[in-house]
Amino acid sequence: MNSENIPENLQALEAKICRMRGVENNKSLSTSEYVSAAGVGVQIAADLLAGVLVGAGVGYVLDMILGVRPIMLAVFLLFGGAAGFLNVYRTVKNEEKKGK
Amino acid sequence: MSNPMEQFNIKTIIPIHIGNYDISFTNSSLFMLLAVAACLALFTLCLRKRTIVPEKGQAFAEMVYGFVHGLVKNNVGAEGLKYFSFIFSLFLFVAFGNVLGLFPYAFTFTSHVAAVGTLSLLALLFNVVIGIKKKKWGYIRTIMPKGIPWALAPLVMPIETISLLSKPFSLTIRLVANMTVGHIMLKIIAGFIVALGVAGVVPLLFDAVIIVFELFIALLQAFIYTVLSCIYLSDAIHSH
Repeated sequence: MNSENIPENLQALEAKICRMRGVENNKSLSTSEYVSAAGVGVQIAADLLAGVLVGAGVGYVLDMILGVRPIMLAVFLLFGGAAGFLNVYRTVKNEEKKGK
Repeated sequence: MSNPMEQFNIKTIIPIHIGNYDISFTNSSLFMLLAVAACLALFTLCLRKRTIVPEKGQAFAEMVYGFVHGLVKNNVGAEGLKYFSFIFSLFLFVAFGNVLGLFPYAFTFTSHVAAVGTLSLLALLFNVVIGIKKKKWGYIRTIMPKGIPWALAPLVMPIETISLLSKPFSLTIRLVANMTVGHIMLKIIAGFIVALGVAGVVPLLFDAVIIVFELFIALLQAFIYTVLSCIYLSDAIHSH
């Protein structure tokens, strides 16, 4: 089929489809980008969890040493949560820097 | 073997007790030794004939070496190449541990917090020792960044300390969670193969696809673990 047989509006439609596909392709992520994005997600989850866990651990040990159970555990759980958020903040900032 | 968690049980092979400590040789230790042996065997085999124009085996060994070399160079910088042997061993140990765990009847030591956590603690130790060696008293800046008023020290210092200590934990959780989840999934789907009889072909195919994916995950996680250790090392070498 040569291009002369195709009505003009069909060719215009094809051009439009191609244009939109191009936009779509630019938007959608490739598989490797998906994997690395999922990796960042897991990293953030692990960061949050690790902060709280280490905080709890430090608090527990301090409690045993100082014999003031459960004050240190309570205080360091909060510190741990804060540290977890700090880690997440740093991870996200690093990702942002990489993205630019 | 219907319990999907059974594959993670530690079994004693040679019981060794010193005082109150149980340092028995377990299936976990066996697979760690196997991982090291497999590494050594592969690299000795590949580098048996050292020619200027490499053959397939030598090219493979050099590719792995070059890959980790590039990783250290990009993430830590030229200064980091001093610690290349540590990072290279770390990568090979984790990668072989992950891949060996995929064989039937094998034990995946990288799915245990105790094993991976120790490796991560080693990275933490490296970070602290190198940091202190390089900056002496300036290392205190890691837990008390510049420009923060001393009045805030009681708040900032514990948070920064926990943040520093929690990095190896998040490294560990990541690797362990990935390996554990993958193996449980394989096992559960494998359970369906027998239970469904003839229709078991469907989960069998599914399992076949997943195991390829798991092989990819095993190598990817070893890679990510290494990259994060590199970043951790780089924090110690050139920090603010």
